[in-house]
Amino acid sequence: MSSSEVVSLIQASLNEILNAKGAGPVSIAPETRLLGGEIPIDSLDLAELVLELQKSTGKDPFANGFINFESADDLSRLFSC
Amino acid sequence: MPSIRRSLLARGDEIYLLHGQHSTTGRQIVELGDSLLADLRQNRCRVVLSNAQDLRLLLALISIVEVDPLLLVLGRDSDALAQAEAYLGLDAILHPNGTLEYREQRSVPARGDVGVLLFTSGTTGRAKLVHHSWDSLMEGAFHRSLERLRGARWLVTYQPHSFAALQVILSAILSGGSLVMPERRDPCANVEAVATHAITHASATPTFWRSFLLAAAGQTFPSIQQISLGGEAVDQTTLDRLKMTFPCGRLSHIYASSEAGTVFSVHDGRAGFPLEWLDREIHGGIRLRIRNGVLEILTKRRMLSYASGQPSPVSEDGWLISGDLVEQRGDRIAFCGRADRIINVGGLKVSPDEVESFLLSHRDVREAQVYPIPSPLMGQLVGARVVLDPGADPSSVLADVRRYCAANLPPHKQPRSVECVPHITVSESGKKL
Repeated sequence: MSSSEVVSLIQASLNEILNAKGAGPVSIAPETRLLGGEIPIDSLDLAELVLELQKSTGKDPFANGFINFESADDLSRLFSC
Repeated sequence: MPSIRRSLLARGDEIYLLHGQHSTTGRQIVELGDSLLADLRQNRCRVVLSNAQDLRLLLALISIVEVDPLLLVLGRDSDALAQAEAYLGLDAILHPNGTLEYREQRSVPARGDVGVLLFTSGTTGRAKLVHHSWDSLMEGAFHRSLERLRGARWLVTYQPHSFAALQVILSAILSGGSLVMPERRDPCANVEAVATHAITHASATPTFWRSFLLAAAGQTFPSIQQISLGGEAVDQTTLDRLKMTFPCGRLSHIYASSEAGTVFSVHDGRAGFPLEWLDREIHGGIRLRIRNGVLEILTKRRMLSYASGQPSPVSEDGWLISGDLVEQRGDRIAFCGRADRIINVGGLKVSPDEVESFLLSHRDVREAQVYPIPSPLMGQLVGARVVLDPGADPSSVLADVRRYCAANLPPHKQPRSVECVPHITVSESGKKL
C-alpha cells in the first residue's frame, strides 16, 4: 500500500471514528497534525486509528517499540510499503 | 448430616439419573458404588482419581464416601494426574469405562486427608487444584431449602467435575430429586431437554442462560420452577430477560466459588446483593466485607487449601480474598469484575464485566465479550465481540452500538473495536473465556 493510499485510509478511518462520536467529517492533507487541535480527536481516538491501520494493512510498525509520529504523512510512512 | 446412600436407596427403582438416552435408578447407583468400594478396600486405596465425566460413576463414588471416607480427585487430564500425585500420591484411577487402575506408587495421606480435590474453572490462568472437606461440600448443598427442592428434576449444565455440578448433584440427592444431562452440551440440546423432560430446576452460568435464551427463540417453559445463576457476575438485563422467559420461575443468583464454597443466594431479581449484608453475619457464620474494593468472605465452607501449592488467598485474620471487585451503588453492592481481568487503558482501569453489562443493555445485543487489545499508544484498548438478535441487521446495528457506547460510556471504557460474531466461545465450565 502506497503512502498516499494510507493517507486515504487514515481519512476514511478518522471519519468513521468521528461519526461514532457524533462529529462531522474532516478532510486531511499529508501535513495535517493528528493531535493538537486541527482535527477533533483525542489520544484514545488516535490509538483507535492506529488499531484500524494495523487491521487494514496487517502491519505492526510498533512491534519493536513506539515510534514517534505527528502528521498524517508520518503515520502513513509507518504503514506503507 | 443427611445420608447420601439412604437418599439414593429411598429412590429404589425410580429413575434418578437420565444422561442422554441412559437411565439409572438410585438402587443401581448404590450397587455400582458398593462394587467399586469392594475393589478399593481389597486394594487398600485411599486416594482415587476419577477421570470419568460419566455422572453415573461420579454418583457411585459419592455414594461410598460416607461408608468409607476417601479422598476423591476429580479431573480428567494429565495435569490433574500430575498435580494430584504431587500433592498426596494416588492409589487408583477410575477410567471412563468403569475400570480401576491401581498405581504402584501409593499415596501417603495424612489423618484428615479425606474429601474432594477439584479444579477451579481456570478462567484467568492455569486451573488450581482445590481441597474441600466433605462436610463443607455437604453444608453448601444442605443450606438450600431442601423442602422447596423436593421432587425437583434438575438439568445438569455444569461439567460433572466442577464445584457447581457437585452442589447441584448433592442438592438433588438430598432433596429426593433427579438429574437430567443431555448427551450434547450445546444450547439447542439444553432447550430440548428442558421441554422434553419437564425440567423444574436448572442452575447455570449467566453466559449459558444468554445462549439458552437465543436458542429458545421465544419458546415458553411452563415446567420450570427455579432458575439459578452462578459462576459469573450477572447483569440486570440478563435477569430481566430471564424473568420474561420464565415468568413462573423463582430466579436466584448464587455467589459461590471453588475456593469459597457456597456463600449466599439472592432472590429479589436484582443484580448484586443488598448493602445491609456487609459487616454482619448473613447465615451460618458467613460474613462479608470490602477491602481495597475487593469482596472478602469469612466462611467455614471454604476450601482447606490449594493442593496445587499456590499461596492461599486468605488474609491473616482468616478472611478469604475473593478477587471479585465490588462497589456500592445505592442500597446495593454491585460486582464490577475480577481484579485480575482489569484492562488498563492509558493508566485508567476498565472492568470488562462492566462494559459487557452495558453492551447487553443495547436492545439488539444478546451476548457480549470484552477483551483487551494491545495498543502502542495507550498500552491497552477495549475490544468487544457481540452476538446480535437473529433479526438484527449487523451493519446498521454495529454502527448503532458504537454510537450507543460513545453517548453513554466515558471514552476510555468505549470499545474501540466491535465485531459481530455468531457465538461467544465458552470454557468447559460454561464461562466466557
